Amino acid sequence: MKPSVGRAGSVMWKISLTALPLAVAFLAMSAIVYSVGRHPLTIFSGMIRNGVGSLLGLTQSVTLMIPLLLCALAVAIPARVGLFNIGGEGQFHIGAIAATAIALHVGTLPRIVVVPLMCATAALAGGMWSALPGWLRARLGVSEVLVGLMGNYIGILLVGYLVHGPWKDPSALGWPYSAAFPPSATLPTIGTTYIHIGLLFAIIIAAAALWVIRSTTWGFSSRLIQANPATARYAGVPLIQYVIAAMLVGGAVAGLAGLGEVSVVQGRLRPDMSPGFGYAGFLIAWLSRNNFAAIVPVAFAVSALYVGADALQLTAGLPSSTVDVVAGLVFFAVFLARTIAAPTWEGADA
Amino acid sequence: MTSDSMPLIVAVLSSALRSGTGIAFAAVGETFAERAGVINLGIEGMMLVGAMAGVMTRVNGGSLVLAVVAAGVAAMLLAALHAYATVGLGGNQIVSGIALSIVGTGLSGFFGRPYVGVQFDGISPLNPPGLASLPIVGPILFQQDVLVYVAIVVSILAWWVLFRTRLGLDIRAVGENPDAAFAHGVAVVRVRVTAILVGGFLAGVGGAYLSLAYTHLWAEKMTAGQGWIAVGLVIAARWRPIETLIAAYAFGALTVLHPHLQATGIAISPYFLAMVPYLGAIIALVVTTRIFARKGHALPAALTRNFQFGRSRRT
Repeated sequence: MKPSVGRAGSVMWKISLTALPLAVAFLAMSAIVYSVGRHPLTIFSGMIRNGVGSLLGLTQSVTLMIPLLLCALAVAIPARVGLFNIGGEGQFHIGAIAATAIALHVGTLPRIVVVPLMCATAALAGGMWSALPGWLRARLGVSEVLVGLMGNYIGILLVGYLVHGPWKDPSALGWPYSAAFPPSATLPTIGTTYIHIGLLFAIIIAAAALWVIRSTTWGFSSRLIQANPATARYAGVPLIQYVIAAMLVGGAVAGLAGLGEVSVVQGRLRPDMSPGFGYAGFLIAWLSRNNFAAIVPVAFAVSALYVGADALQLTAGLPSSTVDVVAGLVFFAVFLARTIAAPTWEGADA
Repeated sequence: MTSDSMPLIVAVLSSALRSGTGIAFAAVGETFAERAGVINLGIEGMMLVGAMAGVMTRVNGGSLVLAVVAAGVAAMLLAALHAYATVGLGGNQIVSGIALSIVGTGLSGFFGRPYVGVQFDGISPLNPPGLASLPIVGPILFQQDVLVYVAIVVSILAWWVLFRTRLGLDIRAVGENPDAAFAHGVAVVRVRVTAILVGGFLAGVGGAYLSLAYTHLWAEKMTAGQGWIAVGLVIAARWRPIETLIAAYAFGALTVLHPHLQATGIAISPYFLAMVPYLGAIIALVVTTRIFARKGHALPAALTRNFQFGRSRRT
C-alpha cells in the first residue's frame, strides 16, 4: 500500500475511516434485520452480549480468534514482500491433515513427544503447500493468488478423501470423521476451555514478525521489495529467496491453525472444520493493513463478531448465514471507505 | 430410453451436459470480466444469490423466464458493487471479490431460509417427441432442458463477441493494457463495467440453473464451491469461452463418472476426480506464463490492475 497524503496521518481520520463504515454496515444490517420483522437493537445487544458480554462468550471469542489470527498472520507475512496469500484455506487443511497423520500413527507416544512433533509436521506441511505457489511466483512469474486459490480446494478435497476413505473411523456411525485424537495428541489448553497453546504461538509469531520487520536486515529488505521489487533487485536483495521464504512461513502459520482446530476444537479430522478461516484471515490481514500489532485486536474483534452473530441462531432464531451477512457487510463497508479515502489504483499483481 | 439401458458413454455425456451447465454460465461470465482485466472472486456468492432469487421469484408466482432474469439481475447487483469498488473507486479486486462472496453467501442464506425445502415447478427437459427417443443423440442432446441450450448459445455468442466484434477487441485491449486502450479512445471504464455486469448476470443465471433446473430446490450454500470451480475452469480454458464450455462439461462428466467407473471396477476416489479442474488450472497457469504462452492464450496482462487516467501503474 502506498503512503497517502494529507489527512491520512491524523488519528481522528483513521478512527473515522473505521467508525463510519461500521456505522453504515450497522445501518444496512438494521434494515436487513428489520425486513424479517426483528428489532435491530435487540439483535445488536444480543450480539454484543453473546460475543463479549459473558464469560462463555469471551471464551468462545478467544477460542475462535486463534485460527483467525493465525490465518491472518499467514496472509500478512507474505504481504510484507508484496505477495497475496489466498491459499490459507488449503494450508489450514494440509496442516490439519499432517497433525492427524501424527496423531493417528504415533499418537500413543508420550505427549511431550507427540505435541512438538505435531506442531513441526503441521507447520512444515502447511509451509510446503504454500512454498509451491511461492516458488512458481518467484521462478516463473505465475500468479500466487490463482495457484493459492486452486490449492485451497485441492486441500479441502484431500481432507474429504481421507475422512471418507483411509482415515474413516469405523466407530463414527457412518460419519466422515477420523478417529478421535488420543489425549497425548491434544495441545495444552487453559483449564477445560478450548483456548489452546496456539494462541501463545500466534502472539509470539506476531511479536516476532513485528521485530523482524522493524529491526532486522530481513525486515529492511522486505520493505524494499514491497516498495519496489526492481530497486530491491538492484540493491542485491535475493528476491526469489525472500518470496519463497515468506510464502513458506505464511503457510506454516496457517498449518498451525489447522493443527489447533483438529487437535483441540474438533478433536478429530472432519470435512467441515473451517467456515472459511483462510478467507476471513485474508480480510483480517487486510483490515489491519498487514500490521503485526493491529492484527491481534482486529482478529479478536472479528472473532467476537462471528461468535455474537452465530449465537443469534439460538437466541433470536436467525439463520446461521447471519454470520456471513454481518461479516461480509463489515468487511465490504470498511473496504469501500478505505478505498474512497486512499485508492490503490495499481491493484494487486496477479 | 431409461438410464439402465443406456451405454455408459451416453449416460455420462448426457449428465455431463446437465451438471456442467451451471458452471458453464458462471465461467463464461467470468471470462468476460477477466478478459477485461478485472478478476471477480465473488462468483460463488453471486451464483448463490442467483439461485436463491430464482427460487424466490418462482415460489412467489413468477414465470420461469422471470425467475431466471431475476436471478441474473440479483447477481448483477452484487457485481455492480464489485464494479463500483474496483473500476469506480480503484479498490483491490481480490479483497472486493472475497468480501462480496461472503456477502452473497450470507444474503442468499438469510433471505432464502423461508424457501428451503419448498416445492415448485422448475425447468424440465424439453423431450421433443421423436427427437428425444433417438438412440444416443436423443439422451445426450434432446433430453435436456432449455437452459442447457442457452448455455451453448451463450458460449458461442461470447466467443463471437470477444473475438469477432469491436466490443470484444475493446474488452481484450482493456484487459491487456488499459492505458494504451485509453490512448486509442477506448472507454476503459465503460468496457470494464459492462464486462463485470455481464459476468455477474451470467453467474446469477448459472445459480438459477442449479436451483430451478438441476436440483429443483433451494438449499443454503447449494453451489458448494461451483463458483470457485468456475474461476479455475476459466484459467484452465485459458480465457476462451468455447474451451470454457467444454471444460465445464468435462468437469460435469468427472462428477458423474465416478459411480460408473466403480461399476466397471476402476477404483478412484471421487475426491481425486474432483481435484482435476484445480490441477488443470494450475497447469494452465504455468503453461500460460509469458514464457510458454501462445498468442491469445495468455493471462490478460492487466488482470487485477485497476485503471485511472494518468494514474494506473504496474507494480
